[in-house]
Amino acid sequence: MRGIAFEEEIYGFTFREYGDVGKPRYLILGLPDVGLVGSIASMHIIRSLKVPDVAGIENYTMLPPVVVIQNGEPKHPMRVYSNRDIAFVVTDVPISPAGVAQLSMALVEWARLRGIDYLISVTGIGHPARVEVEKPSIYLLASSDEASELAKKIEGGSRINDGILVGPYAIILKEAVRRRVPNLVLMVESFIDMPDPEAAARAVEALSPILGAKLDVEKLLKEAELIKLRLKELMKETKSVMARMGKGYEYRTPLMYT
Amino acid sequence: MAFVDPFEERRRRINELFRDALRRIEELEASLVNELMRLSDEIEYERILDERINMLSSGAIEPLYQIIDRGDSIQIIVDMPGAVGETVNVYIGESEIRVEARIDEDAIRRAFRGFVWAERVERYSWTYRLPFKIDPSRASWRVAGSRVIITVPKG
Repeated sequence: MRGIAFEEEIYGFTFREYGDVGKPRYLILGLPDVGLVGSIASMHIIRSLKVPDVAGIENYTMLPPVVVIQNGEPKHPMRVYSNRDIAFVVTDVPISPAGVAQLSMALVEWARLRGIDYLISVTGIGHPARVEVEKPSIYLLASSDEASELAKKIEGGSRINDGILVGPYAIILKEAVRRRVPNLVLMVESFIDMPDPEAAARAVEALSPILGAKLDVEKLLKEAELIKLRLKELMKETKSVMARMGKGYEYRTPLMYT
Repeated sequence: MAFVDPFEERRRRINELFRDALRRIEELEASLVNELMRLSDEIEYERILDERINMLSSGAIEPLYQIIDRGDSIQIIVDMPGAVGETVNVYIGESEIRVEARIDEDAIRRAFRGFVWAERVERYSWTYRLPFKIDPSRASWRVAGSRVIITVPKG
């Protein structure tokens, strides 16, 4: 936890910048959700591109009182990584339902203030027969025409036409529309409550053309077992939070289809 | 000089009082909902801590699992990354399923990077009490990668 260069409070969440955030084009959100797809994919890209962590996001009442220690250095549990072109938000603690609305609004507002061109939400879409799916499908949801244009760069992704989205990415999407920050939601078929590195690998492959980097997923797939073992408990915590957030709504039909 | 209807004035005042009261009730309701969510978080933290203390002192961690209703059967997927294949042991009884396996030492070391709490972790252990009685001879299981897939026919 290095010395803070700049601090800004948005909707109760403090963004503490200790590195150079720059003015990134993309902000990739890897919040814990279905199959931890976004979290695993984001961490893999961060490692592959050697993106440094530059800021911590804090709220002492809505996030558990946690410090993460890496190589002897204390770090914020929720962090922003940035290489000045691409930024990421990842968290080691699940977001409690009490804080999800404020955090989602804060993230979109922070992106707007930072002049970020696109918010990319990466998540899983639960597939009940995932164990039989060799190559998980990719679905896309765009908040605006600009986000739809960006979606065209993703090979093999199809637009999601019907469904319900629940959780932080739902609020982020609504706030992105309200604050005119283009938001692309990238969903990969995955296990609902088991970490799914294979689905995350699909997300990484899909993001490669957008990020302009050939991202190798071989290491991710090779280390899938270790990742699953490591993230087992985060997945359990996330499942409990997802349930309290009303994730069950995703698996029913909306009234408007009637 | 404009005519002021005292009844109209009083009606407006009453309406304002009602609106204020309603707003206060809504604010109170929102803060109560937040408080309830915070309390439920606290209970959840306590449960997680108890579960992990038990798990780590016994050296056995509980695998993640998924239960899928396939109509005429139930499919149970138990994910045990890092388990040593030949140590996977599945017991299927009339009303209970047990799955156990030893975890590869190297996988534990690499996954948990020498965390002190992980020192005693050595195996997976999971017991599931079935909601109905089954005929164990009709159930089957197979291993696919790190997952044990158990199929239990209904009826």
